[in-house]
Amino acid sequence: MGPVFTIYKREVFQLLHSFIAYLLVALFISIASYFFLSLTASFSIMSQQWNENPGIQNLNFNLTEMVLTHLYSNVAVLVIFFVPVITMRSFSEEKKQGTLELLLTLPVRDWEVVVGKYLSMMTLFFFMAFPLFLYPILIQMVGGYFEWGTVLTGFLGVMLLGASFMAIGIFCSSLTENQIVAAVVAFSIMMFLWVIGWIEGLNQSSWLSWTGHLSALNHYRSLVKGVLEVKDVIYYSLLTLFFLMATIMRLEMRVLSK
Amino acid sequence: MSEINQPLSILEVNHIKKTFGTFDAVTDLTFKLHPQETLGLLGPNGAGKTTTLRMLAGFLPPTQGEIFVNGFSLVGHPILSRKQIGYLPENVPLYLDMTVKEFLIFIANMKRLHKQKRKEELDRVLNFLSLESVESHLIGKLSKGFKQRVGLAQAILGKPKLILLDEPTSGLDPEQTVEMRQLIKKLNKDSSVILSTHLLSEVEKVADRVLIMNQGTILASGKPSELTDRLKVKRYYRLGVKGNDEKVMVLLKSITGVESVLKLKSLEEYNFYRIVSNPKAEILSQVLEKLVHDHIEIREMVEEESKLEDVFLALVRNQEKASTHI
Repeated sequence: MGPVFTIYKREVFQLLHSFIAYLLVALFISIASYFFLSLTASFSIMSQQWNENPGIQNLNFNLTEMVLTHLYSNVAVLVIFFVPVITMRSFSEEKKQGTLELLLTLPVRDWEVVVGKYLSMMTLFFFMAFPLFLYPILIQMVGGYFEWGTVLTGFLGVMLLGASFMAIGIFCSSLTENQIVAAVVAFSIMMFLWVIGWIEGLNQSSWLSWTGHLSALNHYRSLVKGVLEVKDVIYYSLLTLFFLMATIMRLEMRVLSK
Repeated sequence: MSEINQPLSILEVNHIKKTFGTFDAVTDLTFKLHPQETLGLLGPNGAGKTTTLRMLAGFLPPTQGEIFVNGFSLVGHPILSRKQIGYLPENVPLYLDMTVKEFLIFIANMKRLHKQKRKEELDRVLNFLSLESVESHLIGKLSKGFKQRVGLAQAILGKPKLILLDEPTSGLDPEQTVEMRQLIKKLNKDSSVILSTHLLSEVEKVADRVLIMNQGTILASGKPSELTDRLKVKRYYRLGVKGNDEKVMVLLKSITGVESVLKLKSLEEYNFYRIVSNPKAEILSQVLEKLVHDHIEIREMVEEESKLEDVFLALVRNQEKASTHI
């Protein structure tokens, strides 16, 4: 059994014994379900109104666009709030308890520790996000219709966003033994990446156009609209790799406060 | 120098140095550790003991110098060399949410023990440290003494060639301390051991050889008895007797080897004294003999532990810096 899998198992074990993990999953699914229900209800009311007023023309009633695209956009904001809470203890707690020293003096490479922990967090995130994939199936069962291409790219978008933000969270956790500080710094970086693109169109200067490329929101937006572009996948992959590498480098620096 | 040395010794430390910013935590440390030897790293807080052990465990890379464990360079072959090391960090960090057995299985997997060997090793360490009765208990619910044993168990799992123990008796009560020392004494059957401590009494009881450190450098090295003799550390006794104060003082001062007698206090009808003697003189039997002879009732007579401060002060006074080559 490789060390990555051993660490992965240990981390999953810890999550299974952690009340906060269950609470986070339940809360995330509840809020996402609430979004889904309210958007579906709005769609239902609007389509009823449209039926009663056939004079309204040129209105594009698209279930996928009106429900799923909005749902994925709202879920992205949830991700920004939830991921720092999930990741904040990954290294901070090990530093605080001193177990990081124990772990890193075992015959294991630093990257194996980081990858093992990261995969366990992604497993938790997958279970949080998976219901997003089930909602369209439920609607389909009662006669609705979704564009499955958009469903898949949207779900891929959520997972890619989660994967990159998890890496940011784990990196921030490796910076400090204070979990709150780790969460706040992670939240700040995620929020920065989310809103940086807002200033893209303020004027024509070339450097401002770079903010659009940096923006996690811009890359996410096209995925949830059903547009699968390599540049978006590369953006999230690079963001993930960058912060995982930064975490490994941080561990190699062996900075401990105790 | 080639990265793989012939394993003439279990551990070879060549001129290692560790600097944090502008602060030299360890300066030019060189020593070897022989098979089945127990070495005590002795020094006051801040002497560089923990930094040294962290470097030996492969946690901190030395700023300069090389470390070879059983012939493998810690930097060049980190996994191979770390497989030969069992390390118990200071404060015994453990995963409190796991049971003893779950934790030891986790460590065995991390040490990449084969399934068959893993089972044998688990049974061996649980038995050796008398942990069978608590193997299914959560570590977080164990007493300090048991936690210390679990920490030791993870260090010795897989029979590493080198065991590093950072302040292994810190925070234990006297009974647990004695038990832990007895366990440590048995470790050198399979391994070489380095333990750090600030208690002179501890190394005297456990170690074959001592390195005295201060400010990141070795001040002296040798067998505990040799060091005490060489540094002429005085011996201290505490005596409590019932009887005439003046008579007792005269009697004590007349004993060969007694250098001074100080009255500490009087409690009810008893008087308490501190006797300072020459380190080579065995005054205990003489004192008892004379007190009994004069029909003086004895309440207590104990030898107080030699203080590290005495050794340390003696070292500074004599400016007796030992060579770091041993």
